[in-house]
Amino acid sequence: MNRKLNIVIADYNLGNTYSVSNAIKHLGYNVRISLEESNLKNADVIILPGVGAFEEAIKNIKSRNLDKILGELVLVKSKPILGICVGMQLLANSSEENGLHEGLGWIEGHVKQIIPLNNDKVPHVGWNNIKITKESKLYTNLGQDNHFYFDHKYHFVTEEKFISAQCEFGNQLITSSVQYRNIFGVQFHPEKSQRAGLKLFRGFLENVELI
Amino acid sequence: MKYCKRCHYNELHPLNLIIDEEGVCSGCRVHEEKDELNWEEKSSQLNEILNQYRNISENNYDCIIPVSGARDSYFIVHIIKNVFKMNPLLVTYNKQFNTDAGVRNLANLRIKFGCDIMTLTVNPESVKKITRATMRRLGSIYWHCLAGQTVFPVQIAVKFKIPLIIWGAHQGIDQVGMFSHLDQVEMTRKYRKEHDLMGLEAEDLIDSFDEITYDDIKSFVYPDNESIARVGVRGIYLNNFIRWDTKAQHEEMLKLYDYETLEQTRTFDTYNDVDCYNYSDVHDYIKFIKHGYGKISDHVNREIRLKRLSREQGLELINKYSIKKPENLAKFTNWLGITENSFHYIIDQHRNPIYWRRNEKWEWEYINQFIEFDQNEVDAVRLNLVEKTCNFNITPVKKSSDHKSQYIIIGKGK
Amino acid sequence: MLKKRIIATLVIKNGIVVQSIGFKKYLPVGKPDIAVEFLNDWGIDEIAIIDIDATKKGLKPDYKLIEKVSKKCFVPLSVGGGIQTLDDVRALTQSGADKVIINNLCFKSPDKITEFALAFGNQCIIASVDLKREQNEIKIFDYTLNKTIDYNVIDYLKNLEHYGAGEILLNFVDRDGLYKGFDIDVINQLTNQVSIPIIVQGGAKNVNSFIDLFEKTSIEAAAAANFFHFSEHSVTFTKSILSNKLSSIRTETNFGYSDFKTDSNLRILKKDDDVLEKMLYVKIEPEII
Repeated sequence: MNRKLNIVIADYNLGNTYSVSNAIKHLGYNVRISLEESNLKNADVIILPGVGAFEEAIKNIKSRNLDKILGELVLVKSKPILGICVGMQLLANSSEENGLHEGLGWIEGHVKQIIPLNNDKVPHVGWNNIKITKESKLYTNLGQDNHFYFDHKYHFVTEEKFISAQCEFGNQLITSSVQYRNIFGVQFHPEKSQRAGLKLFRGFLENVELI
Repeated sequence: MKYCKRCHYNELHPLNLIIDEEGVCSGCRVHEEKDELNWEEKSSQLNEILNQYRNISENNYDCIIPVSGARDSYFIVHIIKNVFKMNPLLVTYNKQFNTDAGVRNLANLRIKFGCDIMTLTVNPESVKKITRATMRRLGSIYWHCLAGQTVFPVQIAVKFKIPLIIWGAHQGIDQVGMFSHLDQVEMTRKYRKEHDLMGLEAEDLIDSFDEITYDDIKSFVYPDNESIARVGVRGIYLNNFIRWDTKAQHEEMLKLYDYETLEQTRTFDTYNDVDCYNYSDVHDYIKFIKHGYGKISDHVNREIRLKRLSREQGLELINKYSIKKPENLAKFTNWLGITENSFHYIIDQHRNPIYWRRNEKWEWEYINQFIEFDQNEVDAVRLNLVEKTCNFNITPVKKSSDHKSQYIIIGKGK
Repeated sequence: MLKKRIIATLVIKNGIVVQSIGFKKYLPVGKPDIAVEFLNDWGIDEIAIIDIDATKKGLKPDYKLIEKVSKKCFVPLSVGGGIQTLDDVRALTQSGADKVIINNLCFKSPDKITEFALAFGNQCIIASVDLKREQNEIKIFDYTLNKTIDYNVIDYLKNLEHYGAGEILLNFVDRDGLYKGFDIDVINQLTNQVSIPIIVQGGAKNVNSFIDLFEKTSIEAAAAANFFHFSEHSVTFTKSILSNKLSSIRTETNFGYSDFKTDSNLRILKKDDDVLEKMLYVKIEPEII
C-alpha cells in the first residue's frame, strides 16, 4: 500500500470532510483537509466531498476561487479527483436545485430533480445496490453486487459514456457514478457505506493513475 | 456528586449508573427483580436452552464452563453438571497470582465433579510485559487476568466447536443494573472490550515502547466474527435464570464439596476471590485509588440489596476496609521486577483527583465526597433486613496438594 | 433496489448510552463510541444518537461526543437533542453527523426546518415526532412538558414535509422499551400521508417485530434501541434472519446467521453435531479490507 500518497480533501465549508477523512485514515493513509492552493497543488489525489444544497456549494467553491485553482490542476495537469454526492454534482454543467445554477462543467451533464414514480418516496435515501456498467478504478476491489448509501433529491443526468454505475430506484435508473478521464464522481457516500465504501477507497487509492 | 440512597454507589461508577427520581440507583432497582421474578419459570427456560446443546454424537462436550479456584466456580459446575446433568468441559486461565487455597480448590473441583479441564498458562515473560504496559496505560495490573479469562473459553469454543459457554453472574446486571434479568443478556465482545479490557484490545497493546510484539499478545486475541458466527458461539449468564446469591451459594458448596475459604485483605467476603493474592489486595487498592472505592463497597452493596446488611452497618465496613494497605505489594513488585517507588509513581498517574488531594505534608489524602442524606429520605427507600447477621465462614486450611505422599495434580510454578 | 433500513438508536443520558423504558426508567448500557464501533462492525444500516436531556436542560449538542463516535462510524449517523440554530447544525455536520434530528423545535418554530434545509439540503433534516395513544386516539406527545398536544397528526406530518423535512421519525412512546412490537395499525394509517420516507421506532422486541412490520406495511425504515444491546452480533443475526424472509435487506458483513434455526425467544439454536464436526479442522482467514 502506498501510505505516502498525498491525499487532500478540498474544504469549502459544506462537506462532511471529517467523515471522509475518518474513513480514509481508517485504511492507514495520511490525509489532509485543506483549501490552501499549495496543498492542493502538492496533492496526488484530491477529494471533493459534499453534503448540502448545490447553490450554497457552488457559491462557496467560487468565493474561495476553488473553481479556478482546481480547474487548472484537474483539467490542465490531469490530477485525479473524486467528487462525492454534491461534490459529484458540482462536476456537471448545471443544477436545478432551488433555481438554476451553473456548475463546474467538467463532465457534460445536468443535475435534475428526481421525479418519483408510483409510490416512490423522495429523497432517494438508503442502501441501494449498484450495477457497474463500465470498468472503473473505483471498483477494482469490489465484486459485482455491492450496496452503497445514497441520500439525495437531485440526480446527475448525462450521456451513457460518462456513466460507470447505475442503480434502480423504483422503475427508473439513477446515475451512481461518473467518470471522464481523471475526473471521478460518486452519487453515493463511500465514507458511509461500511465495508463496500472502504473497499472502494482502497481500490481507488491503490489503482488510480497518478501524475 | 449523586449517591444512591439505598446502597453506597455513586454516579461515577465505572460501569455507569443511573439514579432515579427517588434517589435509588439502577443497580438497586434491577436487583429488586430478584424478589419479583418467577424463578421456577426461569429455571425451566434454562433447561430448555441446555437441552438444545446436549451432544448427541457423543464425540464432544455439551458446553464450556470457565472456572477458577474461586468465585462461583463450584456453584456453576454443580448446577450444570449435577443438577442439569450436562457434560461440560472446564477451562481455566492461569492468572499466575495463585494462592495455595486457590490451587487446592481447583484441584478439588476437578476431583469432586469428575470433569476434564483445559488450562491456559501464558508464558510469564509476556504476562509481565503486558502487565507493565497496562499499568502504565490503564493503571491496571489485572488486564491480563480479565483478558485471559474472557478470551480463552471463546477460543476453545471456536476451536473445538462447542457453541455454548456458561458464565455465572453478569457483573453489569448485578452491580449497576445495566440490563434487566428479563433481557436475558448474553456474552458480547463489546462488553468485554468496554469493561473487562477497559477499552484496550490485545492488538492495541503492540507497542515498541513496551517492547510488546504480536507474539506476546497472541494468546489474548479474540476470535474473529466469522469464526464465532459459523459455530454460533453463545455465552449465557446463570444469574438470568437462577436467583443469584453468591454468599448462600458458596455456603452450600462448603457443605457439599468442601470448598475452601480464605481471609481477604480488603474485604469481609472470604468466599469470592480466594484464588488470587493480588485481587483483594494490590489490585483492589489500585481500584480505590482510581475510582475512590474498593471491592468492599461492591460486597457491602450486594449484601444490602440481599437484605443482610443495613446501610449504616455497610458504611462502617466500608470505612474499615477501604483504607487498608495491601499486604502483598512487595511480592507483586518483585515478580514484575520494579521497585515499590516506581509502582507508586505509575499508579499516582491514575489517581483520581475527585477523591484524592495532597495535604500539607505532601501525603495523599482521601476526599470524602459523600454527604449523608436526611434520615427520612434513606428510610423511605430502605429494605427490611431478612437475616440478622452477615457472617462469612472460615474453613480450616487444608494440607497442601503438593504434599510428598500424594500425586501432584497441578504444579505451582517456581 | 432500495433496501429497507435497519437503524440502531442510541439513547444518551449524562453522556452514556441508556436503555429507555417507557420514557421514564433508564438503565446504563455504556460508552457511545464503543456501541457505535460494534454496531458498525455488525453491519447496521444507520445509527441515530439522541440525547434525551439536552433540550430539557437547555444544553447544546455534545459535539465532542459526536466527533469521538464518528471516528468509528462508517454508516450514516443522525444526531438529535439540543439543536436550536443553524450554527448547531453546521457544528454537528462538521463533527461527523450526516443528518440532524429535530423534535421540539418542529412545533415551536417550524420555519427552522426550512432554514436548515436550504443550507444543508432536505436530506439532512429528520423531523422527529413522538406519538402516544390517548383514549384510543393517536396524539402528538411533548416530552419536554410530558403531555400530549392538540394537533391533528396527519396535518402535522404534512406540514413537516411542506417545511422541508427530508425524513420523518415516528416514535411510539407507549411502546418504548416494552417489546410489544411495532404499532402496525397506526403506521399503516400514516405511511402514505406524506411523500418523504418515514422511520418508525418503539416496540421492537426481536427479529419477528421487523418481519411483521415489513410484511404488513410499506414503511422504509425501522429503528430499535434496547434489544441490539442484548446479544452477540445482534444486528447481523437480525438481518440474516430477516433476509431469509425478505429480499429487501442488505446483508453485507463477511459473516452471518442465515443458516441457523432459532428458539422461541429468537436466539440462535445449536447447529447439528455432524455439521459442527465437519468444521473441526477448517481454518478461516480473517478478512482484510
